[in-house]
Amino acid sequence: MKLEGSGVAANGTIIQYYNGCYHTDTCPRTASGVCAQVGVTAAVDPGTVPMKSDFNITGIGIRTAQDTGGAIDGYHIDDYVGVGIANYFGNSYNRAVRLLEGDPSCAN
Amino acid sequence: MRKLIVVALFCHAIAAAAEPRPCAALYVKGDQLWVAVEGEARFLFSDSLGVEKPRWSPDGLRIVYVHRMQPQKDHLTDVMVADTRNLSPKAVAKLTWEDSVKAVLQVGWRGNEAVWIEGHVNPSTNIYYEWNVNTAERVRDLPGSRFSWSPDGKYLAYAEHRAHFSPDARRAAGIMIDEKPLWMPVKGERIASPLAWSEDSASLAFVTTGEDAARLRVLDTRRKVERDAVRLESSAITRLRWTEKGRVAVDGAATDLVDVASGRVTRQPRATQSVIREGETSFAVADSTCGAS
Repeated sequence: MKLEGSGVAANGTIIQYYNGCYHTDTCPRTASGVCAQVGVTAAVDPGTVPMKSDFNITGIGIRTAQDTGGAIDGYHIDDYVGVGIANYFGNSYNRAVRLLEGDPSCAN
Repeated sequence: MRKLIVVALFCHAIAAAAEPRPCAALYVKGDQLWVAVEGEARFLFSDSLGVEKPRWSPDGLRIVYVHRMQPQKDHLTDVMVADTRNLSPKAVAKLTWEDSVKAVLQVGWRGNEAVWIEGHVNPSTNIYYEWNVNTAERVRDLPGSRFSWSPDGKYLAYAEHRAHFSPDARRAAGIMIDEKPLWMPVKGERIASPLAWSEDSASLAFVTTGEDAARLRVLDTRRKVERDAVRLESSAITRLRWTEKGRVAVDGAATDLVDVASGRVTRQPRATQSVIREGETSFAVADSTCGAS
């Protein structure tokens, strides 16, 4: 999770790790502020594909440019496939995550 | 050795290589790796799992490359090293989904004994992995993006890691050298190009986009100050390279040649990628010893 930046707990809570602390959210939140949705959300370079535009990826389908990030450049697109798929392919899952409750430096 | 009917090797070679090695270029044909040396094509080896992003070691004695990505549960790709003397590739590392790599963006050497890759993780971050080629031990992993080693092999520059889907991801990444911050963007600005070191390892060039314009920025990495910022018209920048006499070529839709000292920008047609031609077919040069390209 420290590398990916976020994950999902067994109870569905979205957990994020940044600035040395764990945080929670109600959904995986994109750069445009909306929740990421499988089959809808894609991350783009806004200089190449305008944010909020719809576009079709051949063989995959229509997506909406809702997300971006510093590792997306030019003609690169990341299609959001959800956390379950990542879990299936071997990322850590069914492991206990302990929130650092009580640590004042991590208070929300 | 096979003589090509027609060989055209266009090198945008500006700085001469330090060692007097012949000009040689690696290129891939299907699953085969070939080298073109002074007009002659030589088959090196084939690998049924693919040969992608081949790169020579600095001493020219080994070649690192990766297999095609094969998104299966327990195996994605391999980092391979072939000794040019016996041409028997060996796996240095096997990447699986546990390594969080969705695509290999860069492959390189650190000295002659270590290889590294930059793997794409998610929209906000990539990961740097480095292995000792003799022991196959993974010696370093570092989240971030746009990794670039200085030519003297001493400094690793990269853009900061950001946690995707978090508020942290909405802050543009700054530039780090060896895990220490060197440069931070102002509001609305983001890095929009690879990071390019000057030949003397003293300066780092990159392009930012902001609310008003794209700018080429040059950092003095020893004094840790920004030397210059030149406004550009370029977009969709794919490559930055230092040329002779303190100029930086910015390759995008066209090529802007920027004189860093004066700030003068000369626009040229987009630089052609180096290719090898065999008859009617062209192959992109993957790596060459023909100097900076």
